[in-house]
Amino acid sequence: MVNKISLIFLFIILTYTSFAQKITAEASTDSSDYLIGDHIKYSLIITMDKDIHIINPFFRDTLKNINVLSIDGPIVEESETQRAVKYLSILSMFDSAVVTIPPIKIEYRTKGDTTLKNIESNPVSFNVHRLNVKVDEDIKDIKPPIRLFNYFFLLYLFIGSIILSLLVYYFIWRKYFRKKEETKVDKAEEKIPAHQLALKKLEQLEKEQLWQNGFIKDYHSRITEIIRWYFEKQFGLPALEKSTTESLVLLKRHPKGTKVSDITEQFLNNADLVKFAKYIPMEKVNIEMMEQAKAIINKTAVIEQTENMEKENVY
Amino acid sequence: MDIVALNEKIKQESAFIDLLMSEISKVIVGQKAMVERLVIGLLGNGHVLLEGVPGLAKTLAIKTLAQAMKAKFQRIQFTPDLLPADLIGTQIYNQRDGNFLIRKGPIFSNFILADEINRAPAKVQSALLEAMQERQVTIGETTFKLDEPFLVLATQNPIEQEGTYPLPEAQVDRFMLKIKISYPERAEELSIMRQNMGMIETVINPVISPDEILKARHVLNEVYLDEKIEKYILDIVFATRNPKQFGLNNLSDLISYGASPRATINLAIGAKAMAFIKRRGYVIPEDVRAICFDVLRHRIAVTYEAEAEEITSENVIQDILNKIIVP
Repeated sequence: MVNKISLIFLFIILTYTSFAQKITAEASTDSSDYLIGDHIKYSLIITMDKDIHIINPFFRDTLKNINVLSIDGPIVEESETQRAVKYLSILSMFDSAVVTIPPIKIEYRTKGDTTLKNIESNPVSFNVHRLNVKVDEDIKDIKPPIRLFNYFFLLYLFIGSIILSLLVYYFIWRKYFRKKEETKVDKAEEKIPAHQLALKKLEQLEKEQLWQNGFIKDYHSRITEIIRWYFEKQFGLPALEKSTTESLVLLKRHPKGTKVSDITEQFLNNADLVKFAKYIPMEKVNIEMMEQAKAIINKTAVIEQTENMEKENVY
Repeated sequence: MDIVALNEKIKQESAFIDLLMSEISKVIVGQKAMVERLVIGLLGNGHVLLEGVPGLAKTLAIKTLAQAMKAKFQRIQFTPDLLPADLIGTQIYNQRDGNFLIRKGPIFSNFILADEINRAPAKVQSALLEAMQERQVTIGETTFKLDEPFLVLATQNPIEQEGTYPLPEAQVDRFMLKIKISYPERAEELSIMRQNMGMIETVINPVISPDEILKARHVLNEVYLDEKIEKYILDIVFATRNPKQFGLNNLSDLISYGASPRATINLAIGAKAMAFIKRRGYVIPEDVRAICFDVLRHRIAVTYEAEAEEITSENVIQDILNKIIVP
């Protein structure tokens, strides 16, 4: 009889336990040894039946003296009968110690029962070590300095290449294109010396017979223009932009101009009278103007030729 | 009239120039260009602005010119507290008969020397410049014509000096010429020193009357100005406005605004007067070039860039004259 009662009692206990609600809390870290400042990944996984509801635990109160960098959770994963709630936190410590995170208390209720129950997770221990300082070695960076890419270098390179290409372009232009332009002008002028060109212009003017046809003013303007142009080319005097007196002053100052200064004075003053004073000269004067113009050119051209010949003899 | 006859006429009519110059040179040593341009202003019926540091005989030159012409002369010292009424005159209440009497101001003269014009405030300057332009003055309700010849010769200290009110551009434009006076040469200064040591006061004899000046002005109109010279004048004036058109690209950023049409007129009149002084019946390019700086220097405004590079309107004029082809 006693055996029967014992068996019945054992059956009831076993039956009760086999139908009891299941909840477990398991805490762990990803390692048991850390260096100061390392990230300590601490996880708490609460596995329970689906009809159990937990109250979120307050970690921070429990994790005294440990820096909580972040807490991720609750992350809930469910199967048909069970539910797992995970809390993943990152901790850190700045002092060496053997640390034990005490058990974390989790309060829960079962369905149809208002009683608040609780379970505790397991305690977790780990070591936080100091850095192994080698006293006999020199002080050096824990990590080498990060080398950032120098974007200014690229900018300088870009500007430099533009300047260089412009310079190259300029030199090419100067060597080939500009030279061609200059040579065009030079060749034309080199071919015919200033005195020959001026004489040609005078011949052309003579052919046009301006004063014979009544264009006396135009004749005198053209003839003085040719002589002033000749002075500019032959002596480098800006005679075209100067008045008669100013041109004469420049001519007298020029070593090669003194020889023709008197005749030029008469020539330009006569022309001024016709050009600016309505003066109608006699035919003789018009002819003389041409003779004087030719004389001015020939006298100064002779100087040039003689000088050239002297130079040639010296060499 | 043919050119020979015209030349002869001009030679006769301009004979007083030598007399005038010789009278003025009794007291003014050197400064020939200044005296010559004062006569140009007189002949061209234009007013003259003189600029130069104190002590260069500006006042003395004008006073002497007036004495040599037997004309009425008034000198007005412009000060910051001068009023327009001090210049043109005012109405005064007569307590005896209860009427207003008009008291004419010093402007009623042939020659006005407005000494240091830039020391007076704008209202006085504009009162004078209006009288210059209109050649008449209104006091109360009565308008009075000013005597002829009427010539204002204003002196101006360089604007950099303190306590000056620079003349506005529009008003400066009313002066036919702006003459810049520089220090005399060493030999001239020696003569000035010796001349002023003597105790004998030099007497200036009147050699010409105001009527003769008015007659000379009529003759001046007969001086021949050829089309080529007209074109040359226009080229110069237009180059101050559109320098690029004349191949003066370097000037386009230096000129704020160019010369006005009044400059064209005055350049032509000035060139004619210059030819008259030189006893010629026709104008040559040299006359234009000689008067060009005095006519244009106050009519061309340079930009801030030019000022920063210390480029003046005179540098601009020189560049233009060096570029424009002379007919």
